[in-house]
Amino acid sequence: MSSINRDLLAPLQSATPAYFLLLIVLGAIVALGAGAWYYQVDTGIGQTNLHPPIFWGVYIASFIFWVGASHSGTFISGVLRLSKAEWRRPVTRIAELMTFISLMIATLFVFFHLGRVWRWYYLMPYPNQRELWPNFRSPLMWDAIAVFTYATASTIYLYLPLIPDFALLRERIGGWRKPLYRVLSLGWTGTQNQWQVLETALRIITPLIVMVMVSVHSIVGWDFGVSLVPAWHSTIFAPYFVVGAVHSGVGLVAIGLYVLRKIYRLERYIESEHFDKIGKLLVVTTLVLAYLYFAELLTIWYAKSPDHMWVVDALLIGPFAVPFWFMAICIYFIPLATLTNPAFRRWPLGVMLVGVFINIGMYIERVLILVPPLTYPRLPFNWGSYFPSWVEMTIIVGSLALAVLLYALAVKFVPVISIWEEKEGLVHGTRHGT
Amino acid sequence: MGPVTEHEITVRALFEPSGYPESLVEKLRQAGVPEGAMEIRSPLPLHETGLVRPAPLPLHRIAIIAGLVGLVLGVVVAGGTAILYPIMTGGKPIVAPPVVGIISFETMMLMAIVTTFVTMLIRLRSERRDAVERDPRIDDGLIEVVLSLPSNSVQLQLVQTLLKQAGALEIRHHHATSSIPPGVELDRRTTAGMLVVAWLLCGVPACSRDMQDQSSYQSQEAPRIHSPKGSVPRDSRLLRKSLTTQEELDEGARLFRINCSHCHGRDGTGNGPVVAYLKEQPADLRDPYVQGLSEAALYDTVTYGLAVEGRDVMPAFQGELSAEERHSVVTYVKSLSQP
Ligand code: HEC
Repeated sequence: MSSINRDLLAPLQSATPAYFLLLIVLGAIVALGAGAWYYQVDTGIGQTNLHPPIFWGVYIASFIFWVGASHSGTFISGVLRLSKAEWRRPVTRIAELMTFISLMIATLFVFFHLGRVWRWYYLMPYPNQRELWPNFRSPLMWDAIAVFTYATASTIYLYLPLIPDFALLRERIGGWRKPLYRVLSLGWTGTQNQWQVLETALRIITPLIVMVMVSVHSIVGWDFGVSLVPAWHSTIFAPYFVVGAVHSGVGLVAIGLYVLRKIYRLERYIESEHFDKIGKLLVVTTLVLAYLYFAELLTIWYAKSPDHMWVVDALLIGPFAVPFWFMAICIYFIPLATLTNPAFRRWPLGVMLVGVFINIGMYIERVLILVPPLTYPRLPFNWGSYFPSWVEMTIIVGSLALAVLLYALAVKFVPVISIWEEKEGLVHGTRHGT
Repeated sequence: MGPVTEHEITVRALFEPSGYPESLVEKLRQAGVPEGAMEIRSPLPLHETGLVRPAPLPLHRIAIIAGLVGLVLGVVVAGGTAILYPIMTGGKPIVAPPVVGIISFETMMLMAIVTTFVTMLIRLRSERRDAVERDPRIDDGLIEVVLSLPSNSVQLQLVQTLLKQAGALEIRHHHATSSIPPGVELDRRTTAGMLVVAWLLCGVPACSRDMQDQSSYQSQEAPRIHSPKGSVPRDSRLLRKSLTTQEELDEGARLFRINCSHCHGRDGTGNGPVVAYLKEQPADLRDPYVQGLSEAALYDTVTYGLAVEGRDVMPAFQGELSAEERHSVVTYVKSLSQP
């Protein structure tokens, strides 16, 4: 057990020059993004290339992408905890941290998209002198409530298993972090009562958060599904969004596992077997997603309703064909071609690369869900076109850098692998596998 | 365990996890150590039998009740909106039942999760024994048994032999003091300070006044989109007929008090409280000239207001009052001639 302590605390105790260099580079990119946002706020939302009829562009696509990415933690950690899969132990914390950070980034995109952001609090349902009351008819309002619930719940869900680890850190780590750990560990001493309460709370919250997770991306799907826009108005959108989110989320976990394992030499904890399991999960999500995609396109294509077909044609053979087929290769063909091979799945670098492709593909997919249907409204005189402006692109790159930066900082503050759960696995004697 | 008192002594014994016999707790119980005075600390949850019985906490029930409260909250807020505004939109209530379902699902989950968490926090805090620091060796895998006993009892002897027999690696005594270790008070103050700062920061956006300063629609302002001069809403004549003369007069008097009396005075003589601030003296409505005007002319005045030399002196009421309300007011103004 002391070796577990030593190995897993090591990342918190030292930092190489390369680490600081990384922080500086990321910080600079974040600053660029922040500057672009400042510029946009200062000069107006017209700095984006959003214009009728295309009123949703890459900001909203990024929002969907990051909310989707946040399904990594809840799915991997929640579902695996529920099913008591032993191999979850070294994976859960990495995934939960991702959930937490992706949700923060996703929330940021809501604000990027707001016209007068400094008025954001008029969105909240509280009595005010302008007698504004939230419009519950709008799925965006459902979305706001769901994302708020999800963010609160997943923060709690990240925090709960951290309490015993904070107590450990309180004793092992000095300096400016010590008082923080002391507050965060809530006087944890590890008594029977405390363990019992913690485990009960986890047992109650885990299934709830899995349900919230499903509801969140369903509602994001309904943002589109309940509208009458051709190619959005589809019953399949809710499940389709949920599966897509899990797809990119699991892909992200593969990236995280690989990078952290490589940097902090966690090979003893994150084994190739974990990549094997992740790879299998990805095959499942690929197949389900492809199935849903096919079902949706088939239904539209067979009906041949002209307003829908404008969109589908634009995707398959029209102006959006290049990104569309590139996306299909990234999220369907590459995972299927590689991850179905057992030997490949045990190759961590390979699984990580597939995760990268999946996430690039899923980002494009989010944009393709948004833009083409908006480009071809029912009245052709009104058709438009859209490509993000430099402000939009800078903000997107900046926020990606922010996500990585937050993760890099978090690694110095919390153990990336849940220490007590790892010890528990050791004692159960069934560390990996079932 | 409650806070330790002056007359207690704390006995702490460390065990190897493998060496820790499950029967120890049972033996201690027989030796008369009360349940509340025993505590076992471990680096991971122990599920073996024969441990200290945890104090019951109906966390499941609390979660369910909180969930129900959240459900009701969601139904009241979302469904209540639909009841307050009974407007059918797209063939369904403004907040349709499925939507109430979606929203109350989220509030239910939110309440259940947050309440579970908060209850757990309160429980953890109440567990805290400030006086006894935790042994760092616990995190390397040892298990610690902590007992608080009356300081001069014979029990102490017995308990020590029991612990030794059970294979304790180390036994230590503390004369318990109720003093709180140094860092704790500071931590509490830092936490409180951070919360206060966060709370104050929430107020920052309220400093901006741009919503007040913008050219928003003012009450009594004439509608910015005008209907053609002289036009009358189609439905107003019908509605007018449904009022008897007396009702119309009463309604007119009520509306006059609200909309006109501050300028024209409660009796219509033009001596309202704001007259001193007006550039133009409001007309005495009982004046034969005014009474000589036709009902249509009065209706026109009330609808479009009056301007003297290009400056508005009396506001237009076509945005403020509906057509039949304007009719009622006019009827009332007409009635002022018979004192
Ligand atoms: C801001 C103060 C103000 C308010 C409020 C106001 N009036 Fe007047 N009204 C005036 C002034 C000033 C005049 C005199 C204009 C002039 O000298 O030509 C006037 C004139 C009139 C006249 C005479 C019209 C004419 O052709 O000479 C009538 C009738 C009248 N008001 C009715 C009303 C009624 C009914 C209301 C309420 C619905 C009302 N007013 C509200 C200021 C007001």
